[in-house]
Amino acid sequence: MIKYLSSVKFTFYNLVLMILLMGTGVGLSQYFKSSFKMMNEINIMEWIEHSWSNKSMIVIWFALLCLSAGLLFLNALFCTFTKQVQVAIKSRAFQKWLFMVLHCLFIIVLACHGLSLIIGSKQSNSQLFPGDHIIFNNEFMVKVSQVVFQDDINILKADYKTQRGLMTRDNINRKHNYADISLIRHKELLETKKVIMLSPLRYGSVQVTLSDFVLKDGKLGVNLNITKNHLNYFFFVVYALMILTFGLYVFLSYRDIK
Amino acid sequence: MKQDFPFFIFLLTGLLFFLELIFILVKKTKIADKFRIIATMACMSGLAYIIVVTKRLPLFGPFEASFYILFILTLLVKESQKKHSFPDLSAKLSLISSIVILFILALQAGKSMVINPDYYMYDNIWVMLFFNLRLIAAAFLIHAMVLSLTGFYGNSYDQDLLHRSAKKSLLIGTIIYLSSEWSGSIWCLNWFGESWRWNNGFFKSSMVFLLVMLACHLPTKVSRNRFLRTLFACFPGLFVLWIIFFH
Repeated sequence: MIKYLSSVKFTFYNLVLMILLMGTGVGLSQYFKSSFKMMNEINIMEWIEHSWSNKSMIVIWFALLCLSAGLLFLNALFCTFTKQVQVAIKSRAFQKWLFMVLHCLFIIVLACHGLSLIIGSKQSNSQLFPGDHIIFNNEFMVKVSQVVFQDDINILKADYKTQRGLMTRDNINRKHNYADISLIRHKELLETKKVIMLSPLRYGSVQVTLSDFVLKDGKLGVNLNITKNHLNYFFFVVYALMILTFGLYVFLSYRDIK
Repeated sequence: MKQDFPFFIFLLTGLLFFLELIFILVKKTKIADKFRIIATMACMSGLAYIIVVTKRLPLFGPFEASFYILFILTLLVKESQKKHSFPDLSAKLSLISSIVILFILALQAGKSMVINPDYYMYDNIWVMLFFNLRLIAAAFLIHAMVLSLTGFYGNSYDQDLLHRSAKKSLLIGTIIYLSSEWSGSIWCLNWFGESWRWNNGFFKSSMVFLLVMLACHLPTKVSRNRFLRTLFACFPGLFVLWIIFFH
């Protein structure tokens, strides 16, 4: 069993299955836009519970995709620890060790993708106006004290398509528009920051992200995504290491690649 | 000027590459080489136009992508010709690359000849890296496709040589592609609070990586089959072309 699970043949057929499932995902995400939007906004277990009754097909597709990814994880794991380790020990060549490390890092990246689905918490699309606050995870309070939009406010009044066309680098300067946001826990101020687009407030594993400015009844506010994920930093470091190892491996074994 | 120039440069580039193909077919290699150089320069002027008008590097969209990819592709093919300098192999490489280049230009022919509308996030380093590296990676994956196809029509020695070169190009393309994805993940984290999201773009991006993985994990039976080996090496390049022109 382990022999088959670690074989290239199994990798090949599982990859074909995964590509087909991803391709199906491309189609499904076009037809069930709201379902996929919800998938990003709430916890995945809640999404499964919610979607099972009315959109069971997407849940089945999702389960198959997870199964295929899980099999890829096992495949890489078994192949690395039953074959590549032995090859590396036997040959003692640095490239062989690099090849093994590359696969180990890939396994970790894949695991991080899977774990990010079940650990951590998020609260998406929270519209807050100056003076508003929101409780996150029954632990943190996110407070907006001021929202400033110095560029042409009429841009925010336009519909989505027009707005997209007007939001040029000449019309919008990210640094001119911000929200003063504070993160509080048990009445203790943890962090406060002028949050601009693409520069969120971070405190440990908590992140308060400004995803958009909103204009409602003439009142200027912000759309916030609040997330807590212990894996983010680790994920990016391992991902970068994987790319560097990959680069080094190709560089060192350039002449030997078959 | 803003509308006419892109169309003019597209026609000129297309015509020059077409003439190159004609001269390759009539075996006037030296003249064909000259046309390739002029066509590359025309491509470069299209690229310069995009950079001057937008004040940034090409990012995405058929028009920007086609000129950028063609420019890098012609340089990569030139480099391959230097490495595989046997006249017969070099001529085959010219022929196949010329056909692939004209195929890319034909895909662009049905699309509008305009550069993408500006967006305020294009000043962000992660956004620029995400889009720009993706196009460079695409050029490498298409280069791998060109090498594989050339190998397919060659003798067994050519096949082996070009298959190895194609694999190298595929691997370098993947490293660049993963760097692009890494930058894109940072962009996503800074914009939405998560490093990746369930959407159309995520599925397509993953498919590119999985297709490369597939080409590098062929079972012995499949990799011994000349047709299948070529087909799997071509898939990543074909798929990025589909993403760029029909996304």
